[in-house]
Amino acid sequence: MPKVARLHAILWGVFSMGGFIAAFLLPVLIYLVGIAYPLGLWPVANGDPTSAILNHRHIGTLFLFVTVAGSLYHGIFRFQSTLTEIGLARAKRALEAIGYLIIIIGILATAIYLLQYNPSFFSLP
Amino acid sequence: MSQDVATIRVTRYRPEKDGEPFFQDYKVPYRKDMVVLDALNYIKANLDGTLTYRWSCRMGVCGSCGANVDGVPKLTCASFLHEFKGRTIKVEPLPHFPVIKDLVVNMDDFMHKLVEIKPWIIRDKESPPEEGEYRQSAEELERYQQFSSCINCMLCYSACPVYGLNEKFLGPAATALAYRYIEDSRDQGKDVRFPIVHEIEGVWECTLVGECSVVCPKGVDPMLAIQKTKILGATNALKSLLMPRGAGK
Amino acid sequence: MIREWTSFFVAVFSLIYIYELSLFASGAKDSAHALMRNPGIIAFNVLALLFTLYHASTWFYLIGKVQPIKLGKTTSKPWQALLLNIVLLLIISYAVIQILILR
Repeated sequence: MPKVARLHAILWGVFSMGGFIAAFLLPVLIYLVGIAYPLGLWPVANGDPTSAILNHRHIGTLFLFVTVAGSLYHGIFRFQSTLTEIGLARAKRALEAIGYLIIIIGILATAIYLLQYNPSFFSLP
Repeated sequence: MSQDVATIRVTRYRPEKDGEPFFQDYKVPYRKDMVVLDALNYIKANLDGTLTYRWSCRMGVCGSCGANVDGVPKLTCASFLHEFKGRTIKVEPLPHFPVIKDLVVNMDDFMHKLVEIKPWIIRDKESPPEEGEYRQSAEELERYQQFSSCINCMLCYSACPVYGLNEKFLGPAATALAYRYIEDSRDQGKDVRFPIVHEIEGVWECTLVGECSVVCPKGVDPMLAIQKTKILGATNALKSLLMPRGAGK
Repeated sequence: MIREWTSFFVAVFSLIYIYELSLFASGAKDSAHALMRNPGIIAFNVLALLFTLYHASTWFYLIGKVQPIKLGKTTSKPWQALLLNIVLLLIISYAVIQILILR
């Protein structure tokens, strides 16, 4: 009896949102922390961008969390499909489990590190 | 008078005789406006009557003549010899399907999937003829019209690497046809069709390769249909999470 | 195929950056800066940016195909969605820089 794979549908929906995040928010983050800062390009003058962003306690932390978590989820989800395409279908179950483990640990780690840096995130300004 | 000649390299496989498939070359007179099907028909009529292949309308509407021509799934009636580099053209059976003989493949899996998605209008209650037709606006027709162009030629299944790896995958044509009915304003069969397209081996196996839409000879764009069906599935799942009792149909 | 491999760069950049965040969180800012200045990492980031922009372009085009918008009597084409979303990407990126870096 065919049955709607509701969990898969929701996981795909999150992947889709991650795709928007990776498309709209990730490029500027890669540019700022990965290229502008080490090469001294605009707009990074002296301080590193991560500190500058996290100085904005709420929106900075939120921006980093959403961008990193969303991009990680999207990237891993899609990479899993690619592995299936290149014929690793037999290991599919194992690869999916590893992928979701990386996603969960990655997202938790992001949240923990951001809160460690900005412990007063949950207190009102 | 020297005549221009093309070599058609065809896969031969006769299960009662051959252990393995093999290639056989046939020389056919080359005319610029010849299609591969013309060449096959020439071979069968003049050179080798045992060559076996499917064809019918010879004008790209019946979907019978699919084959792998120089490595690409194509309709042999729509593949002009002059499209190909050189004068040797390889013709093999459609990949991802078991071969019955020569270029004839077993279509059972696809036929089964076609029936599974119930390619007909499903109504909760049929209106009696006296009430007149089910009316449909031009905008309502536009929402599904391109997906109704499918001629069931199975080129998309041959092009799909996911189907090649997993026979259980519902696949491009079946999903596009299911979507065609889901989007038809006259159809009320969402409850019946959604479980089929939204089970794991339905749309979720698709990894957006897109080759199905590239090879489709009728512009159906099954990849688009699968994407739209995924969005329907995701929004439906979210709705059922947020409103478990349902917000009515 | 290239489109699918963009996911590799997106995922790996995210993982590298999560590691950098861990260095920031534990107060090891100098180690974080050293990591970001590593030439191999910079080269990877350049590739990651290129691949991410490629992902963005293919994503915008696909959205344009899947969700065309009715503009009066005509419907939008995918290349129009691509252009519009690229402009949106530039605006959002500029806004992020203005709000989170320059202030």
